[in-house]
Amino acid sequence: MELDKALKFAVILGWEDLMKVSSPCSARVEYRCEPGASLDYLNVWSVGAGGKQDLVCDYWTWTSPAHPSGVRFSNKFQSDQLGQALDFILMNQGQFTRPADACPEGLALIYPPTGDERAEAATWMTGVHGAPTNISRAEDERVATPQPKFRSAARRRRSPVGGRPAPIDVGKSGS
Amino acid sequence: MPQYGWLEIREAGRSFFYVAARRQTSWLLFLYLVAAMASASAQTGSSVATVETIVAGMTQARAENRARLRPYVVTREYKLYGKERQATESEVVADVTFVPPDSKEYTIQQINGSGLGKMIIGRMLAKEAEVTKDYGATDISPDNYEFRFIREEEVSGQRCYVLELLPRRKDKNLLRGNIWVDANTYLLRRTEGQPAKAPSWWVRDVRIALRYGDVGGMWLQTASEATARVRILGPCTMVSRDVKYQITDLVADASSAQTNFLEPIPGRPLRQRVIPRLPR
Repeated sequence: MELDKALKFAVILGWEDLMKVSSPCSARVEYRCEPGASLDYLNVWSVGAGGKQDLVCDYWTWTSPAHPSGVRFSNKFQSDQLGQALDFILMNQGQFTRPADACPEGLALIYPPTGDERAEAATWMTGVHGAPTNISRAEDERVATPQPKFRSAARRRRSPVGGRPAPIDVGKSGS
Repeated sequence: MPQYGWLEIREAGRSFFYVAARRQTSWLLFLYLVAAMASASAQTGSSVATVETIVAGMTQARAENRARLRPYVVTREYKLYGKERQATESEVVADVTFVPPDSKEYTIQQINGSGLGKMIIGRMLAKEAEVTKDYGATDISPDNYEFRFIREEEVSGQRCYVLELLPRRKDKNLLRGNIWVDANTYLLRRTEGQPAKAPSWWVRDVRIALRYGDVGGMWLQTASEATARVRILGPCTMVSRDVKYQITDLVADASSAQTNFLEPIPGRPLRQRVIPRLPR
C-alpha cells in the first residue's frame, strides 16, 4: 500500500474525533522523507472553513530533550484511533511504498470522508489485526536518557518481550 | 681658597636645583593624586559607570541568568502585517520548547491567513533554534561586540545604560544598534538594531527590536518586532509576543514531572500568575 493512502486512512479513522473540536473542511498530513531514509516526523493539520489551520498532532519516531517519541496531540484534539493508526504506519514503514520520483516533502490531503471511504479505512485497520506488526514504543529502541515530561503522548502498546507483535485494538468508532 | 670658594658655590647651586626639582615633583605627584581621586570618585561614588564596568556587570548577569534557566515551553503568537498595519496578513501560533543548555525546538500550532506566514515564521524559528545551539557565537559579549556608552535613560521606570553595539564581524546573526542595560541588575531590557550583514537579497532595511522580561525567575526575551522591505512584497512588519509559559521541572522520573503555567497580565511581570502545583 502507498504511504499517502495509509495516512489518509489514519485520518479518516480519526475524523469523528476531529469533528468534536472543529468542523474541518479538510485535513492534511505533512512529512519529509528523503529517498532511502525512513520517515521520522510528520504532522496532521485540520483546515477550517475560514482557512484557519490547527495542528491536530505530530509524531516523532525518536526522543529528544525537547520532545517525546510517539504521537502528541495539540489544540484539544485527541483521538485514539488516529494515534494507533499512526503508530502502526510509522513503526511498519517497510510495508508502505512511495513512488520513486516522489518529492521529499510529502503531503496527503483528506476531505470529509464518504461512508464508503470510512468503511474502506475500517476494513484496512481490521486487516492489521491479523498481520504481523511492530508497534513497540519507539523510544525503547533508543538510548534512554532522563527526559522532561511535556504534553501527554498517546497511549501506546508495548510488544511482549521477544518482539512478538501485540494486536492492535481498532476500537468501535471510525467505521 | 678660591678653589674651595668655587666648590662651595657649586655645591650650593646643586643643592638649590635639587630642592627646586624635588618641590616640582611633589607638586606633580599631588596633582596626579588629586586627579586619580577625582576619577575614582567618578567611578564609584557617582551614577556614571564606565563602559567596561557596565559590560563586565552585564556579562556576569547574563552568565548567572543562564545558570538559572530551566526547561520551558513558550507559546508565542506571531502577527505579520503588510503595507496596511490595521489588518494582519497572517497569524501564527507556535510552541517553542527550550531545554538547557542549548536545545530549542518549535512546533507551529495554528495558522491563520496566507501560507507565507508559516514559511517565514518557520524559517525564523529554525534560525532561532540554530542560534541557541551556538550561543557563544552571537551572544552580546565582548567576543562579538565592541560597546560604546551613549547615555542613561529610563525604561519602564528603570534606569538603564544605553550602549551602542558594534559587531566585530559582518554576520547576519549579529546586530548593529543599541542595547538598554538595567542599571541595577545589568540585564538587558531592550535591544534594537539591524543585522550586521543583510540576511538575504530579498530583504532590506531590516530593523529588529527585542524586549525582555522576568519569567518565573528567568530573564527571557518576551516580545519582538521586526520591520523590513521585501522585494516585490514591499514593507512588512512582524510582531511576536509570548502568551503562555509552561515551566517544566527536569526530573529523572518523567511521570512525576510538574508544570507551572504562566500567563501575562498587561503591565505586570509574568511571574505574578504562577499557578501553584497541584498535588498528584
